Amino acid sequence: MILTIKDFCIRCQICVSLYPDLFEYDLERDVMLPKVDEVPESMVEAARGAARDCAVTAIFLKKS
Amino acid sequence: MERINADICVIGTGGAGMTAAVRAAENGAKVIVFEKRAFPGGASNTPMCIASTKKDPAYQDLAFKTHMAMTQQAGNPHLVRAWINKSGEIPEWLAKQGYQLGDVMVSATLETMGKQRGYGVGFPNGYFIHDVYFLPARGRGHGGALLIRHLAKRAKKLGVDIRLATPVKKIRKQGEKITGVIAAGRDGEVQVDAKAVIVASAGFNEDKQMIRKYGQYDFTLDPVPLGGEAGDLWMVYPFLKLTGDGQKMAWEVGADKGAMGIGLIPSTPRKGIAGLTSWITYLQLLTIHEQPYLWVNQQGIRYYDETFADDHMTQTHAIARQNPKWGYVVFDNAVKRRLEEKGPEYEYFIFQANTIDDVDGQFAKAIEAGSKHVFVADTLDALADKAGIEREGFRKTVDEYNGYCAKGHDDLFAKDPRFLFPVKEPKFYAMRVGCTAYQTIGGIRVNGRTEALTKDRKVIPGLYAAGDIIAAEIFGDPPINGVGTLGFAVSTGLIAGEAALAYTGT
Repeated sequence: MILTIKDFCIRCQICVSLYPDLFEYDLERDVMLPKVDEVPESMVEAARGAARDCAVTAIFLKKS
Repeated sequence: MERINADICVIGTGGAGMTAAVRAAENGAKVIVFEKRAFPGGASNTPMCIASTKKDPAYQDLAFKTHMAMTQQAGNPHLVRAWINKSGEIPEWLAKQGYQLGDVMVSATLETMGKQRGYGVGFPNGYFIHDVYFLPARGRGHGGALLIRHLAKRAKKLGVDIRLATPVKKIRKQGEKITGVIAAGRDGEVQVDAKAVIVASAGFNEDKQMIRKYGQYDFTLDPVPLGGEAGDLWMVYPFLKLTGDGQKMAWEVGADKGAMGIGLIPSTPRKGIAGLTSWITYLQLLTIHEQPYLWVNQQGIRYYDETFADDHMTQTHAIARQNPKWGYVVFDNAVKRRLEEKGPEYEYFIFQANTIDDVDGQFAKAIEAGSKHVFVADTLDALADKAGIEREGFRKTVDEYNGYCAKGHDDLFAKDPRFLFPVKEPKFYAMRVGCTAYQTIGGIRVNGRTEALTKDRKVIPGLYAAGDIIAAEIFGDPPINGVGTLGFAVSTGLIAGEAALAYTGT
């Protein structure tokens, strides 16, 4: 499965703080990025949690 | 170069900027808004609620008097009055924009206003002058972001031109009058001809020099932006990219700086935003540093009446006056049991922890995760050593304090005797608490119509300011504050939008 982050992400850092294995913040470009190209099975639940926890519904998990 | 003609130009897309833009546009003005980041909202993406004083003269009068009393009459009374009165319009105005506020969390009555604690985010007990509405949110996020998105959509429907990732570089002036701005667009310079400019670009969170110069206590901002060891000030919301741009541009065209400062809240720092926001991570430990147990500085000496432990303003300013700028909350095994069985003495208003679960486990987890600011030890001396508190001073303080507890009277600070818990049963616990910045405020002096003023207190025709960039004006100079400012932002956004409309004759 693939994680995507929409461009209306508000960079609030909640996803990075709560799910540091899945997200990182690119300080230079001021964007949040998924840390993995393909979400491993063991992290799918966490990825779903991140999507639920996002303040602005900017995180999506899709089948690859 | 792109050249644009507008009636009103707004700098910033937070609560103040978006409100001013919508207010002006719904009355027929041609409005352009600039935002330096790729998304709107800025610091206004973070709030969970908004405050509004009831639209009733009796409430407004009492709210005004209470605020002025709490600020030692030091706030700009014209702006305070204008803000309080205008805040009463917030629920109705937002409803008109199609936005539904959440429930009222707490409501000040004429009997309680000025007398009991409400939601002033740690302003002294008694500062409770409004109805606090919850902002509908999703996930663990702050509702402010959804409010901003709604206002941005509304603005676009009204024909407002919103330019994201387009920082304003200069406010233009000809003679005494404002004539527009210059911005840096993706494809080159954007020159705006506008009669009125509203500066709503908030604070200076990440400008270390401005923090040091205008931050009330000569703070050093933690150079590790995710919270760490080095500095003595952290930001609750790092990466807002607030660098005082609006202030600097306004000063260039003659605006006086007015009051400036930092809205402080206490925190035991941890890495990342999660470490500083108990309401996001349900981190119960952070509730403990609002408790009226024994507090000492690094010399081991008590430094304030701990009855005020839940009053962020009092607590943080007391911490900031210590050297180094730390406070330590200290308690023993008996209090630990009390926390787990009965709960804290003070409940944090937004995240209510009825009891604190497994204090030992939470401390162990924090230490395992790398926290250098929580401590457990079997003896008081070992606790002092681990925490870096001076042993001799600490021992003397604990002995003296336990004596007060035994007789039920605090001879030093007359602390509320309900909170005289001795520190004598091992194990012993301590948390190091520092100053965290909830927001940075101020930098443009304004009058009650949000018109920017020069040092000689003359109006700069066409220049207005709203939101955090003027919020220090209502608290005095230097500002002593501790409140969330979204209600102030929307109120002053309304005032600025209306004032700019009247000026442009639109």
